[in-house]
Amino acid sequence: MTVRLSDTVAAEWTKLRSVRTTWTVAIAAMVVSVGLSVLFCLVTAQDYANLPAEQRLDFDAAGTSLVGLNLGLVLVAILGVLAVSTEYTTDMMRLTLAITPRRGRVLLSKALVVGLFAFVLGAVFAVAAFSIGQALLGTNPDIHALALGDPGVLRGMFGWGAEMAAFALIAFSGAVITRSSVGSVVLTIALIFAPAIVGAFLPAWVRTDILTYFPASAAEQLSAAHAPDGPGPVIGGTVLLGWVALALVLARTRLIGRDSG
Amino acid sequence: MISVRDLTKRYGRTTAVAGLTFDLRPGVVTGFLGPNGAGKSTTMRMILGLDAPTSGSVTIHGKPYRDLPAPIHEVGALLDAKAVHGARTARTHLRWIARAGGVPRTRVDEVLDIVGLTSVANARIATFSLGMHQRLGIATALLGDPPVLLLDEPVNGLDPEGVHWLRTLLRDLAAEGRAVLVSSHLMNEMAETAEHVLVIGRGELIADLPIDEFTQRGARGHVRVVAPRLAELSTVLKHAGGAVTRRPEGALEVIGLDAARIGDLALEYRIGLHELTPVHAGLEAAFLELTRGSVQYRAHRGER
Ligand SMILES: Nc1ncnc2c1ncn2[C@@H]1O[C@H](COP(=O)(O)OP(=O)(O)OP(=O)(O)O)[C@@H](O)[C@H]1O
Ligand SMILES: [Mg+2]
Repeated sequence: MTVRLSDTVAAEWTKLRSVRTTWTVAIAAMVVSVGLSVLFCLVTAQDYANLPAEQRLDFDAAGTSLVGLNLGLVLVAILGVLAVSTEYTTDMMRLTLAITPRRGRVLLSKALVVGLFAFVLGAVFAVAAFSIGQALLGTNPDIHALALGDPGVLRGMFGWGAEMAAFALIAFSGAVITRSSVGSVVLTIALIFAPAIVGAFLPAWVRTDILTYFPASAAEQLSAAHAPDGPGPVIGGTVLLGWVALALVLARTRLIGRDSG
Repeated sequence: MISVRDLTKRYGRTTAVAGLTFDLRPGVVTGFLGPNGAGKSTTMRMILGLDAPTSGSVTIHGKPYRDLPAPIHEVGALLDAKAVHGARTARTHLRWIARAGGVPRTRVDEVLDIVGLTSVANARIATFSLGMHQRLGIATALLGDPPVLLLDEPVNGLDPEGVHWLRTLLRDLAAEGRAVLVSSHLMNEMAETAEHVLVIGRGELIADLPIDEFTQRGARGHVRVVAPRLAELSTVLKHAGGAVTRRPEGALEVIGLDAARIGDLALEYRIGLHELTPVHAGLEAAFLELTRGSVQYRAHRGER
């Protein structure tokens, strides 16, 4: 008999789903992603008339209904961290690696499970937030609410899946590399928000030529239904994939090169 | 089965294992003995490919552990019973391991039954006592029904009944033809279980021999003698080559002459004997003597 990759993947999925924290965090992520978006749409629908004219002219109905996902993203990234950091804090990683000594395969399996789970969460949250949000916005006759079939919308839904998967995997890799949950959560939050915050104080060319290629902005090219100025979804998606690949390669090097402890 | 060849592991300046060479025998429980920090756990981790040797090698049927196509069908291990995630139940814990190792799901309930955890199979592991953790660890090792078992201090935390159960289990597993390596730092614990012992100290192999031979070789016993004419007898015994120590309570401890010889000598010199008792050193004493030079963490009593 030979153990196959599918066995390792199934085992990692069993591991992830058999811990209650996974579901607590996933539900929290849903509440934040969908709940905040819905609230924001409610307020916007009521208060639309009071918005500044230029905002109304250029109203981003899709973005408005997906606002909460930007925060939900952090919780989904934390799921990626938890998938590995609990194994280091409990020392269970030794057991995992004794059961499956092929470490590259362990990493790949964990990454597949974390990535797919986060992708599904991201896409589901996006569709839910979008659908409820558009229905609420549509109650105001002045707002042009969107449907899933409108240009860019469906791509944006998958884009959110991809963005959540990407950050969950970057956070996951950070946890493999640092073996510290706090460290990798802080690192990931910084990676998500710092470019936008710091960018505001930097010259415009830094923002367009450099920060655009950081993971968060690259992901935005993919997940925003009508994308902000930038290289577009294809290049944005490729750049994001590059970041994820880099993180995973570093994690693999770290996991293979070191003693288990 | 398992061949360890010239295995050495250094962590920075500490040499945890130094040039260890041994083979694990099938059909026998082998006790793996050594004081704290001797390198027992490190050796086991290297067998499982968890820590990379600084030099030397370990092979299982000629292959490194990492290259085995179905590792837990070949080697079952218990390293650290506490190193599990408390949020899972015993059953889900064993399920992911079964899945990862290519073991059918039905085997999970079998091993739970073998270790006596069936009634708490759905309880979270966090609620388990140390002894229950050990049982779960043993269940994990048995999942793949492997011909080789490596158990790092499995007796820790077991109640007397549990200890007895484990002994019987280990002997039965060996009787089925498996190689069983069990580490411990208590010699007596091994006395009734192991047929063979490997003793290490400071990472080096001190002894690799059947347990009976171990007792004989490790420490010689002495003979206790009580006689009215003690001083005279003492001189006679010393002349005959014995090492004699006079005890404060008025007895002699003689090393190097057996009871029969002492009795004959006493008759020859017409010295009456009131007591002539061979005292066996026992396993623990043999072990202590063997490892005396290699204990790293010795407690110093009454340092002032
Ligand atoms: N990961 C590590 N990093 C640094 N030193 C280590 C590491 N693991 C073990 N050591 C050192 O190697 C030596 C052997 O340790 P090991 O745990 O193998 O001993 P042991 O025989 O299992 O002891 P015990 O009976 O206390 O369990 C010790 O000096 C220990 O401090
Ligand atoms: Mg140990």
